[in-house]
Amino acid sequence: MKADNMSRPTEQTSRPAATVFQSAKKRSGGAAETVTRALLVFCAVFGLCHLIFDSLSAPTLLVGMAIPTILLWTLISFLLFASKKTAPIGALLAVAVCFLFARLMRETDRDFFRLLAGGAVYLWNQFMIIVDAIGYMTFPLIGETLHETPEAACFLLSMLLCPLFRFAVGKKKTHLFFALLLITGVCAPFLIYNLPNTNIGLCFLLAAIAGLSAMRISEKYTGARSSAAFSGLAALLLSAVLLPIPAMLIREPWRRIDSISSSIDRLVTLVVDLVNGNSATDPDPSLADPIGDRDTTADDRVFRGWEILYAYSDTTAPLYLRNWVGADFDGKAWSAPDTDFVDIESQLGYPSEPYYVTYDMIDAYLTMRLKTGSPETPMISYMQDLNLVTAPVLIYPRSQSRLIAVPYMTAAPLTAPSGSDFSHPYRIVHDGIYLADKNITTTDSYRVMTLIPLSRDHEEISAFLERYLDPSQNSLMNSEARRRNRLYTAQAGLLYDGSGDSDETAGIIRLIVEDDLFRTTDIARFFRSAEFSDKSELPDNAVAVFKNELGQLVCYYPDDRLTLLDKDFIVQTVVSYLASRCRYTLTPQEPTSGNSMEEFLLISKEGYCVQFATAATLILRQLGFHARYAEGYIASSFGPNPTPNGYLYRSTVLDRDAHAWVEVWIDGFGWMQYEVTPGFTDIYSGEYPYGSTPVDTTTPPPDETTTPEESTDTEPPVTTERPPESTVTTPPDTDEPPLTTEMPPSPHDSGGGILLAVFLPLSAGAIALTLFGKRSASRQKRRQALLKAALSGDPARAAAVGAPLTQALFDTLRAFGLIPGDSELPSAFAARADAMLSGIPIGAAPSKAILAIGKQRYGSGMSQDDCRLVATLIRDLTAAAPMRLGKPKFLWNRHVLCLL
Amino acid sequence: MKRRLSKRPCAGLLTYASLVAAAVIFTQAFRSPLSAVTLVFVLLLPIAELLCFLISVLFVGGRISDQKPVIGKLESHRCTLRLTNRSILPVSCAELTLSIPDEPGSVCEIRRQTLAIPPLSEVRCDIPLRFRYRGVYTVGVRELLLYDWFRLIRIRKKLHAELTVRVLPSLLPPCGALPAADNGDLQEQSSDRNSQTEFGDIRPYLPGDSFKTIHWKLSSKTEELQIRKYLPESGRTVTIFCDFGGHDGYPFPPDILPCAADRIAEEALSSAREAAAAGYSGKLLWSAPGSPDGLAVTEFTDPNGMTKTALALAEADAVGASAGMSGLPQLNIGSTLLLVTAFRSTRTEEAVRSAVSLFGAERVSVCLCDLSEMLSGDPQSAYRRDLDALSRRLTSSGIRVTVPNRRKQGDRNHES
Repeated sequence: MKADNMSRPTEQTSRPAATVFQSAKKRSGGAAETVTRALLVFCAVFGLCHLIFDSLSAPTLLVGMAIPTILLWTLISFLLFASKKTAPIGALLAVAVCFLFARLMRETDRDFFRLLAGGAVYLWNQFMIIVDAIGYMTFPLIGETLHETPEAACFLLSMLLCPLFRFAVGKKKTHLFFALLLITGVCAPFLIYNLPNTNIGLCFLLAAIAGLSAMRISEKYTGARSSAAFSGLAALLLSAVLLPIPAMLIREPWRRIDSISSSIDRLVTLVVDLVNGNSATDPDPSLADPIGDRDTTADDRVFRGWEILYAYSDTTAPLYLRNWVGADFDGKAWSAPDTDFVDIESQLGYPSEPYYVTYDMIDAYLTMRLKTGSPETPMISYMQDLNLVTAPVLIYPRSQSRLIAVPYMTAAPLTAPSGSDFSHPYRIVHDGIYLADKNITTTDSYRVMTLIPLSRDHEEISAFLERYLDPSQNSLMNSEARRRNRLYTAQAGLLYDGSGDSDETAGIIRLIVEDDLFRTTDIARFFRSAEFSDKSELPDNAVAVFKNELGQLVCYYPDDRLTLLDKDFIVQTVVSYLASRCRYTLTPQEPTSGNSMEEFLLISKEGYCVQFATAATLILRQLGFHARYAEGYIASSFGPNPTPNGYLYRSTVLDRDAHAWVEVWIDGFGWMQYEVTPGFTDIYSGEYPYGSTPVDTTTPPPDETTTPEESTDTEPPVTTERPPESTVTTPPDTDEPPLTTEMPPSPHDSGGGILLAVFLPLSAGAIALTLFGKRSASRQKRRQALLKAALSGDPARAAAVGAPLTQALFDTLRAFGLIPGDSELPSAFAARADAMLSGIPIGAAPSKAILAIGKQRYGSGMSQDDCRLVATLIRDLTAAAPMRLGKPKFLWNRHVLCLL
Repeated sequence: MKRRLSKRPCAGLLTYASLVAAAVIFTQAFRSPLSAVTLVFVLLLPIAELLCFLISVLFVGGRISDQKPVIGKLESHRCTLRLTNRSILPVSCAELTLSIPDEPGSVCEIRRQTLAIPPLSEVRCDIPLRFRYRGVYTVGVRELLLYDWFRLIRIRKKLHAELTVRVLPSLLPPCGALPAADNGDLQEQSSDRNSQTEFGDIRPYLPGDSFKTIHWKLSSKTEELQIRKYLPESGRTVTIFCDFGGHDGYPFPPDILPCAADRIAEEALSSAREAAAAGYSGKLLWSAPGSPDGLAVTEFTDPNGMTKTALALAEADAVGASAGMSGLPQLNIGSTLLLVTAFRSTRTEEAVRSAVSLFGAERVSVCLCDLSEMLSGDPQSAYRRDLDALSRRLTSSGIRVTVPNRRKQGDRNHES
């Protein structure tokens, strides 16, 4: 076509369309720009605030205050930075909002600045709680003059973040990178440890990021801010539509990809080892034994209100979450059962079985149910008779530990919340203690199937067991279940018969039983008595031996015909006896004896759950029971579940909810828990209908001076409890060494998480710097070659460098703030350049170079002299830039923007 | 109208791939539902966004208003290019490759513009049309590239928003280059249209031919009736040849050549109009390498109907023209040949002399366009010298040479 011959295919660089095109929608574009930016700021700030407060478990602060506060401060930020005319209005509005806030908070009797300070203190202390829970040293702000004001926290955050984000989305030269860096920096700790309870905050943040990205990308390539705002708005709205779908559906982590996860683990291990100075080889997990002895010496402890875990359930029945059991007592501390000792196969002639001692009844139930192939089996009715519900319980750790707390009647292995395998490798060691290979963290929630007693009527249980254990009742307990029952009973007998207890302690306990328990209670009737003339004739299982008035040896030993009710009565009697003999206190007196039981039972007669549980366990063993000491946590105060994960109730377990109790082996039933600490509710005394409305969880204030008479009260626990030997990483200032520090150096210490949080952003920063540096270096090289070619004086080369030289000059002028206007004539721009660049030592007037460029753009091209002139100007301006612009700006323009 | 869509991934796709990889690693490093939500969002968002993008592409259109597709040199006109987005989804980035005249109006240059098109809106661009040289220009959108919001993909869309503008050569006043106009032969020519004084050709008799045309002598020899074919009055035809390629070998600056071609065309047009006004008919020839015989032809008869001739001259491509006359045109008996040139090319001179030898000096004339005012310094002097020498040589050979004085017109043509 003829036109092809006439058109000169000279390609020029893109210029902003504003110089050529006019949009018909100028007014609406401006409005869209403002609305979009305001929405972006609101979404980003609201998302961040929601993320923070949700992580601090303070969502109520958001509902009431966040939305109007953030809206107001967004408006104020826009007014402040929009123009000089609106800035005073924004300032006045800001003052008015602060005044209004102070008036609303007037009941605190604090002025506005103290309120803000209180908000900052609250945020800092909450953050310290999180840091402490993940195992680092903390610096909380505590003092008489420092008051926490949670309500002011949201106000303070809005006041700080809204102008910051307004600045980020509004200012032309601010890059998306810094806004993202800010969001990542603030969010990283919360995301790493999965602290938020919901995904709402993240959704808002992601929507804001998507909108901002789209807007910035469009601005960068088109230069039209108002039109670009439409893209940002569209991306924001699209994200708002898309995000609720995964946010509502996803409740668990992504499926584990072994290759990537193991690589990450190895990398973290390497970094942690390098930082900590450990060896590169991983210690054999089997050698690491975090299960140390638990000291029972009464000592003062301080509770800080740490969150240990969240327990989700469909009932409000208290859950005893056990994570440790004690088998042998040496007078001061319990030690876990020695599994190596128990070799059922060789000792009893039974084939090898896993030592799931607690699963007796559940296993039998499941076995029978599977055989019948239908849930509508007699087994279910029996469960209904016992008012036991098979229900899932979801545990969401809020601290780090290798010990996994499980409900006492856990029926199956741990699973992820969806039912898939648990994300962490773990083992069941030491007779039911769940031990993970590395610390489970806030990201490792797990689900267990358990039997939850909604109420426990021991008569019902007794009647059931009579049928269940009767060999003639084949449908109830088949041969396999009977075999396993015998197996477990034998194991319980081997591990928890008290043979490993210290002789001194046994003597103390025997003294208590003989001289006090049998004399002051009527449980002696459950034991056969006999008279012997000689000690050698005493039966082996004699629990009490004393001389009668005639000088004969009277011995008591357990009656083999004890029923469950009898046993229950005995245990309850022991509990009552201890409650009447000893006083519950969280601040016992300084021990004077090396034996904690002597101190508790004979000297001070005061203590807390650890001492009560220890004493009860030892006494019951003396009475012939297979009893064991158990530690863990009580999830008791169930309230409505604020997290939409399918469970009805949630209980927040704190550090002060750590507890100890006794578990008694009931043949055919399993380990039955008994609450032995005065003031705590017997877990079987309440009624907890499945799926009912929650009971009133308002507890009376703690009463440390519980009297023995009050100890039998069935009110919910009203006293705070000093924790037993801590199962979580304790701060270094306590007397007891933290559990985790007794382990060999583990590559999975809690330092890995924080290091990862630091390592990744630093790596990202390093990569970004490298990329920027490379880009800058290559551009510098090209620029130097260009100037050399232009200054060479070669006419052939002058023709080739005309266009890039033009661009280079425009870039240089832009660095000095000289940008041609949309409709500015070249001559006017040249005059402006002369005026602005006066005082800079340059060889030729800038106007001449600009006019020379005009030939390139509009004429036949620059001549050799023109190229030399332009190149000289570029060179002189670049040399003068550090002095004129200042070093930081010069470096910025050179290495980041690549203009010089 | 079929619209071809061409899709290509962009550099943003690499960034997105990195983002997905980072999100996957994020889910493995920090095993939390939040990381899973982020990954799913990163996977879902581009899919939804691309869907919106594809929908918006369908509703993007453009057109260009054709106000006046035929304009004269240096006449100011305007056309409007409109891009519309009829969807509610914005177009984040549209990269247009425009063909618009440069500021001096010499050529249409390719320019790239990047803009965003808001939803349900139109963006408008007024393109000034003012051309220095005659020719055919294509103004409008050559190519449209549409990018999605995150620049992951781009689609090339043909808009067909182009306008073909024809710029006619200027109408110069007559310069008297034609030999008949000077010696009054034009008026003395017989106006008897039926006079057949020129023998043309012999052909067999066809029923209906006039008996007067039968060549009896030849017919008796061939024993078949043959008739004489007479040529029309050749004295009233003019053949004008435009020597666009005569600069071959001469060191003219490149920007002079279009001006020279324009001058040649305008002089030729002026002469043609003059001839037509005097009752002549004829044709204009110029070298066209793409044509079968290497020549392009346009005829003229009516002085009021020169627009067609001007249009043909507007389309004449001087760039590929060869020097001189690639072949002597067939001159009808009695017609004259006018060579319009601006160069003193040897080949041109040879062609003139060849024509003279064939047709006679009285039937060949030359119109030399003086372009010396476009030059300066030594080239100007050399050019004038050469042109004068050529003029003298041709004149001495009896060839009529005309050098029109267009100084004022030339100044106007070369405004910068």
